[in-house]
Amino acid sequence: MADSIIGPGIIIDGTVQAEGDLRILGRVLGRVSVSGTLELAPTGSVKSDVVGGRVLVAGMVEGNVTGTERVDLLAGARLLGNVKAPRLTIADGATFRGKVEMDL
Amino acid sequence: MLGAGVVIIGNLGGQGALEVQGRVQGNLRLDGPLTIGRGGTVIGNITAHSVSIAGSVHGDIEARDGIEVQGPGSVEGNLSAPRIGIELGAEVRGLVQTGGAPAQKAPGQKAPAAKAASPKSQSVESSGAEPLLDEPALRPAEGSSPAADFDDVEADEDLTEEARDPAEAEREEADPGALRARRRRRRRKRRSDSADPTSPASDEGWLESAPAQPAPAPAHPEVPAGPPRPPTFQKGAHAQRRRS
Repeated sequence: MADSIIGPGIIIDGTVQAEGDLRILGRVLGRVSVSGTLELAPTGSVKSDVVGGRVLVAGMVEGNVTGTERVDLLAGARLLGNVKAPRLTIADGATFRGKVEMDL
Repeated sequence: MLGAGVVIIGNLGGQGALEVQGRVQGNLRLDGPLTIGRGGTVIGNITAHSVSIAGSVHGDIEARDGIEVQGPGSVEGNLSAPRIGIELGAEVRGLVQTGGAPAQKAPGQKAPAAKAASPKSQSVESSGAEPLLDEPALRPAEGSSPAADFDDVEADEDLTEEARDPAEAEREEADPGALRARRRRRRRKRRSDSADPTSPASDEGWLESAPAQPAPAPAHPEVPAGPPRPPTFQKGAHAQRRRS
């Protein structure tokens, strides 16, 4: 699937649903649901729940994060919410407050 | 860029360039160039610096700079921009209004331009279903317009030209006498523009009319609401002056 990018200057006030991969460099004020890899860049932020196959977070999330494959909180990530994924990594430098559920 | 698999339900705004190949259900407000690629769909009103459409749009479109509806594109809603281009094969259903005709409000010298423009901007409807109607009107305008219309036009103006001409060609389709009227109008415009440096008011009204309903009606009040437009008009005027 084509690379989809929500640019750094973009603000979406609503839900985003994507087949394939998605990179978010902007702001989304609604639920994000991606079938493939979701990459939230350092400039990116999501103020709602995030669902993806593989979720890479380097930006900010205020909401629950679900990865059907895995969730990676990279350095610089800020997550305020719960994580649900079979595999989870939290890098040094990531800020995280929430519950983890790994029995998916 | 939003790929083919992306669906956004809600409003979208921001700065920078954006290309939509997926689906957006909601209003889109962008301070930058917007491209709706083939297969891209927007259901909602669009406000952007410039809009290029190869997909489909259901809603009104306003652009500060220009709107280009390409061959495979379709629009159901009103178009409003200083420059509008509709390519052969594009489907447009709605009111088309180029900002080149904000002269309406201006008194005296500009009145004729307004008169010539308003009946023609009524409702332009072109679709692949009526190629016989479209083709003769569009073809000369698309390919050869700069040369045909202005001997002195530079090729580097071709975005302007492309954007302006097909739309006007379509209007001619509705009003065959318009060709002459258009040339007269342009000449007059060029003259009157250079003589009329006023650029009143802000573009607030222009922006506020963005979320107008898709119905053709709301665009009409806009017609006499000339003052918001002159800034863009001036831009066009500038381009025209350069040309001459």
